[in-house]
Amino acid sequence: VSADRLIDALWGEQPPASAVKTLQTYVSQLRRELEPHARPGGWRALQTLDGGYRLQVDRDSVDADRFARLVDTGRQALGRGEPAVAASWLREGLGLWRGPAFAELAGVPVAQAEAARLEELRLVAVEGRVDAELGLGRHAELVGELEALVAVHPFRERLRGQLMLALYRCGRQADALHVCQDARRALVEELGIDPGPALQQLQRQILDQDPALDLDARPPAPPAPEGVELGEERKLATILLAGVDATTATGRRLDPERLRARCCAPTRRR
Amino acid sequence: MTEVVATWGGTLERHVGDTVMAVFGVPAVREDDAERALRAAMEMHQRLEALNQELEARHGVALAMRIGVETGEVLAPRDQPAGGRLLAGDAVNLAGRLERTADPGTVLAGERTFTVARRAIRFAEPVALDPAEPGPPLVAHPVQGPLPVREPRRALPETPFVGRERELARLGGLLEEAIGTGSSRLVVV
Repeated sequence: VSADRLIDALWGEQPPASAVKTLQTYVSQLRRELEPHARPGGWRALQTLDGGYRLQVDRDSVDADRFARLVDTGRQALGRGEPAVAASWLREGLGLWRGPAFAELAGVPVAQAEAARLEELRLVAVEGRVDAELGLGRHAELVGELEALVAVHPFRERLRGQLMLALYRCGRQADALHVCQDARRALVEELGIDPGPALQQLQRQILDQDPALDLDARPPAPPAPEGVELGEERKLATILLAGVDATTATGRRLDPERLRARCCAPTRRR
Repeated sequence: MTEVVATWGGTLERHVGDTVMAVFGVPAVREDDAERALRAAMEMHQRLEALNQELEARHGVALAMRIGVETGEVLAPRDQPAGGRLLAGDAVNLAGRLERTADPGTVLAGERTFTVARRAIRFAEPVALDPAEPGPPLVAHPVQGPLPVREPRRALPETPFVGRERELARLGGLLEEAIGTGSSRLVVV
């Protein structure tokens, strides 16, 4: 990330004259927070480059990336018809949330954009988790949560659809249809549009008491072909991490380039 | 170093900057993976010492290595060959924290590695691992060396099984059967 971009993000169009200095102070504070044990001159995750900075970390160290990956893994499991696995990944991902993303940076537009992206991904994860739990027959437990979610996100039709399905499976057909009417009213009155085809089809299926809506009606997931392994698995493993530095006889550290220059130079005669 | 890791049954998974990661337990789990990893770590230090004598004599430089070892559940891709797999999990992060905390030439083991390897490896008094970090304090166990003879298992304090009545009853039944019939019974736990 270039320093200019960071300054833009922090101060917008009119940065103070001391912006560069202040940014450097912020970065050094951040370094102390991120890497309290970094050795002077050693490898750093937060690297200063020509005119900017780079954060080079293991992708698991960034909770937002970890969350995105867990959601992705969960959704893949859902796609394979493994609701229990999917629910577990998505729950783990959602468990990483500790309140709204970047709440402390409410006035910073760049952070707000990223927070909005993460919030969208969070809702996708919630919807995926609900799908997985519906697949596990937990419709009764889901109704209350879905009602609360629909109240907060009235225009997310997928949540409405999930609430309708959960109610239908609880034997509450009238309530399910009522949710659909609510959705239609909200969409028409607030946005002037009709519910999407998925919601309309669900409404028809509920009216027809379509057996496809029943939990047991879904075809079982095809078994994975034998001998072919898919995706990721949890394993108990021991991880060994070794970090290497080069030092001179006087204890001075060498960067890799100088080390190479030194080791590739003609050998001293003894 | 690849050879040392392989000798002890691990695989070298990747290099990130000046850090290398080796994994013990993927794809095949062994009961003593933690111990193997620690023995590999100690041998890596020994090998480096020999290499350093040569490097110092020829180039006037030495390499300093710090090693962190931790055990735990990781998420491992099933369809990738060894030597480039991306593993995710707390054990990876913790091993990294231990590595960064370790003094050059030493090995720090995490709590779970310590727990499973303490019958085979001698550890110094535990030290606090970056106490500035939020959350419950973590301890690191400095590795001193291998224990000469493995203590027999029964020396460990016996921990009672809880909530495993059915399994225990089944094992007891099979044991009686084996005694009664004089033939063996196989149980996979």
